[in-house]
Amino acid sequence: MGFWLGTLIFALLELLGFGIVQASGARHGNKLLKHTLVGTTVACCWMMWGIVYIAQLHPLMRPTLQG
Amino acid sequence: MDLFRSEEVHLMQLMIPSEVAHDTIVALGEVGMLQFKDLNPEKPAFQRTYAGQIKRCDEMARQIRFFQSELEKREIPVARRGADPPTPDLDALESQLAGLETELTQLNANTDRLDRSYNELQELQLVLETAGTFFEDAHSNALQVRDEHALTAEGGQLDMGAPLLESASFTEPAGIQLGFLAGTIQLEKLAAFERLLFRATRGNMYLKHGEVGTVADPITGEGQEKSVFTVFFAGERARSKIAKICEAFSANRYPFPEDTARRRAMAAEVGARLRELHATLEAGTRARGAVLSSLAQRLDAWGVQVRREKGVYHTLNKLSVDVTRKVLVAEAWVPVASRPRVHDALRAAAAAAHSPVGTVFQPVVTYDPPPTFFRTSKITAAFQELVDAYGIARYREANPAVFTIVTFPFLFAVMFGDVGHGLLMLAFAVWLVASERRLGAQPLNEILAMFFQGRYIILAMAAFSIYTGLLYNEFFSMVTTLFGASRWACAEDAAITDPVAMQMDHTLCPSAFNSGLAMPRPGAPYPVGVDPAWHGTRTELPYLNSLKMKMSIVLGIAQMNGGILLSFLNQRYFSDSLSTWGPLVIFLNSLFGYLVVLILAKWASGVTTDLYHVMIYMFLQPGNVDCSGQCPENHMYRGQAFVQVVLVLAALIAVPWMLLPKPLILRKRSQRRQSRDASYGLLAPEDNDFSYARFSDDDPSVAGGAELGLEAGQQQGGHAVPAGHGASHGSEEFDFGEVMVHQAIHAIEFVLGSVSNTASYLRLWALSLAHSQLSAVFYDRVLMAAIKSGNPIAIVIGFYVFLVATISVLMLMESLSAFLHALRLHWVEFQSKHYFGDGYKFAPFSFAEIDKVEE
Repeated sequence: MGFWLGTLIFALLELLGFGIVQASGARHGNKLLKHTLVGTTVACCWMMWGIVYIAQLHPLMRPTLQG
Repeated sequence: MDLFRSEEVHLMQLMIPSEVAHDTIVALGEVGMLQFKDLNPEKPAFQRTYAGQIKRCDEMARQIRFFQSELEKREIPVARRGADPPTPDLDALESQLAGLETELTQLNANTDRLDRSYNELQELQLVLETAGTFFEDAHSNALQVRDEHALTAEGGQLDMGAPLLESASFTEPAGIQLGFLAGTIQLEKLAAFERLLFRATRGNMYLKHGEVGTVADPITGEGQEKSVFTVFFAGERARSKIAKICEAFSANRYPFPEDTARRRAMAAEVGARLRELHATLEAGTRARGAVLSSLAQRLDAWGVQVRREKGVYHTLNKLSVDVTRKVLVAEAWVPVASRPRVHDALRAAAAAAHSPVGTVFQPVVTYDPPPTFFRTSKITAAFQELVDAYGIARYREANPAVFTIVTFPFLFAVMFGDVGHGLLMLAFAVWLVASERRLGAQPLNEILAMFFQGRYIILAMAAFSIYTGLLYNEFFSMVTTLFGASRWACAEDAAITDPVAMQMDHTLCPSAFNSGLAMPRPGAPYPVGVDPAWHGTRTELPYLNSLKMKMSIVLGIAQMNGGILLSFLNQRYFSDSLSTWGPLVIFLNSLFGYLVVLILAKWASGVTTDLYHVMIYMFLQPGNVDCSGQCPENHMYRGQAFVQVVLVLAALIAVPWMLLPKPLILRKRSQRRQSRDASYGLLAPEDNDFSYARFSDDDPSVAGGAELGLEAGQQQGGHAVPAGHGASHGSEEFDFGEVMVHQAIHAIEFVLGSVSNTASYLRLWALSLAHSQLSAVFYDRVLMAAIKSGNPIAIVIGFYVFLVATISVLMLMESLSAFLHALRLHWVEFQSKHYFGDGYKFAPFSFAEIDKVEE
C-alpha cells in the first residue's frame, strides 16, 4: 500500500514541521500562524502527490512509443 | 492566531493640556500607533487653529526645495541623514532658513551680474581682436593695392581687375564719411542677418564677419556658436536702420574705435578688467560653494524636521479646542496591544514638559467601524498586499491571507511546474533576499523594485515550482529518473524496461509501438510523480491532459470548501445566525464533491466509467444509474442509485434553504419590533447596537450584539458598512421585496458560481499544459535540433536561442500569466465564498511613515 506509506511520510513531515515551530520559541499567536502555514503546505503537497500517485494506480491508457 | 483577524482597535479620547499639545503629538508620532479622527470636519483648512504654522512649514519646505535645486545645479550631493536627525527649534530653523535663502539669492544675483559683465567683456575682447584684424587686413590690402596701382601706372598698363572705386578712394580724399558698427551675432542667424541688411540698405553696405567659436552669451549665460561682424555703411539713416536690425537679431553691438592706437589701449584695458572680474567671480563661487556644502550636510535633516512638524500641525488641526482653550481634545483609533506604549509616551511627554497635569487617555464608546490593522512581518506583508489589492478586510473578519501565503504560490506552481525553471527562479529569489539590506537601502528602478517587493512571494513560488516539477517529472522539459526506474515494461517481456533501448531497436519489443507498454505490477506505480516512461510517447499528451484536468477539479473543490469554511468561521465569530453556510457546503459537495469522490474512485479502481455521463444522468434520470442496462459500466458500486438520488435531493433542498430563511426571519423581527414600538417598553437585547467595541479575543460569546449591526448593514445593501447605527432602531422601513431580491441574487450567484468556478479551476490544467508544451518545443525544436545537426556554430546559436526563449518567454511571460491566473483564482473563486472586503486600512500618524513617503 504505497499510498498509505507516502501519506505516512507526509504525516511525519507535518510532525517534523510542528516540532520545529513548537521549538522555535515564538509568541503564541505567531506560533499558531506558523503551524497553520506548515499544515497548509504539507496538505497541499500531500494532496498533489496523492493525486498523481492514485492516478497511476490503474491507468486506462498505456504509453505507446512513437515510430 | 496572528494575522487571522485584524487587531482589536479601540477609539480612545485624549485630553491634552494645550501648553504641551505640540510635544505630546510629537511623542505620539514617534510611537506611530494612533489614527486621529478629524473632529472639525466642517472647518475649511485655512480656518483651523494651526493653519498659520502649516503655512510656515510649507514656506520652509519651499526653501528647502530651493536649496536642493541649487545643490543639484552645482552637483553637490546631499548627505543622507544619520541615525537620528538633530532637532533645532522650528523658529530657529525658520530664521536660519530665511537668512540662508537671502544670502544665497544675493550671492546668486551678484554672480549673475558679474557673469554678465564678464561675458560682455569677453565678447568685446573678441570683437576688438577679430574686427581689428579685418581693419588691419584691409589696411595692408589697401596699401598693397596702391603700391600695385602705382606700379601698373608706371608701366603704362591699366590693370583691368583693379577695383575702380577703391583706387579712386585712395587717389581722391573721401567725399562721404563711411560709418561702421561692430558686434557679435549667433552663427545660425548670420545669413538671414546679412540678407536683411542688404535689403534694408539696398546693397549700400559691406559686412565682414569671422567665426569665433562657442562664446557664453551675456544675456542668457549659455554657450552659443557666435560670429564677430563689422558692417560698413554710409549715412546716419543707415546707422539707425542697422542698429534696429541688430536689435531684432539680438546681435550685441560693441564700441569699436577706428583708430588703431585707441583700439590697442582699449584692448589692454578690457584685458585688465577681465582678469580682475575673473578673480572676483572665483571668490564669489568659492563663497557660495562653502555655503552650499555646509547646507548639504544639514539639508536632509532639516527636510525631515519640517515634514514632521507639518505632520504634527496637521494632526493638531484635527483636534477640537475646548471652550476654555486650556485643553485640546483628540479622538484616535489605537490598537489595544499598543495602548501601554501610548501610555508611556504620554507620561514621558508630560514629564519632559513639567506639566502639572498629564494627558487624560480613556476609551470612548463609538458605533463607527474601526479600521483594519494587520501587524505584518516583512515576509507576510507582500502576501497581505495581494489580498488588500482586492479589498481591505472588514474589521476582524477572517483574513484569507493566512492561507494565501501557501495556496497562492502552490497554485502558481501547479501551472509553472518544472524543476529547471523553478531552480532559475529560486536563484533569482535567493539573490533578492540575500541582498535585501543592500537593495532596500538604495532607490531601485520600477521593475526591479516590484520584484524586490515580492521577493518572498517569488521565493515561495520557486520552491513550490520545484516540487510540482518533480511531480510532473520535468526538468527543462527533460525527464528524470530520480525516484527509480520506470514501472512500465514491454508487454511481451517484462525484463525490457528501457524505452530508449526499445526506441533504438524496433525489433526488441514491437508491441510497444502498437498497443503500448504494460505495467507488470498494477497498483504499484512510480512512487513520486509521473512515470518517466510516458515522456515522448504518443499517448503522453492525452494521459497528462486527463490527469491534470481531474487534478484541477480536485484542487479547486478543496480550495472552495476552504473558502466556505472561512465563511463559517466568520459567521460564528460575528454570531451571525442569518447567513447560512450549511446549504453552501451541501450544494457544492453534493454536485462537485461527489464528482471528486468519483474521480478518486475511478483512479483507485481502474474502472472505465464515463464520469461525465454519470454526472449528467444523475440529474436527467435520477435513480437510473445504468441507463436501463445500456451503460452497465456506469454502475460503480452497490447503492449508487440511492446515494445519487439523495445527493440530487440535497442539492435541490439547499437552494431554497439559501434563499428563504434570512428574508423571512428579518421580516418577522421587523414585525415584532413594530408591534412593540407601538407601546413604550424596555429594549430587547438584540436592539442594543453596541457592537464593535465589544469584539475581543477574550469573550467571543458576548459579541451577540453584532448580529444586529451586520443585519442593519445588510438591509442597506448587503455589504455596506454598518454605519447608521444610531438610527437603526426600527425607525427605518423594512422592505421585504428588496431583501428578497438581494438574497435571491446571492443564491443564484452561488448556484451558478459553483458550476462556473469549478470550470474556472481548469485554468490550472490549461496553463500547466501550455507551459510544458512551450518548454518542450524550445527544447526539442531549438536545442536538440541544433545539437543533432552537429554543426558547432548551429549548436552555439541554438543554445543562445534556447536560453533567450527560456528566459523571456517561459521565465517572464509564462510566470507572469501563471501569477495572474493564480491571483484570479484567489480573488474570485476562493474569496467570493467568504470575503466581505469592505473595511478600511489603519493609517496611523507616524513619523516613520512620514519619512518613508518622502523618500
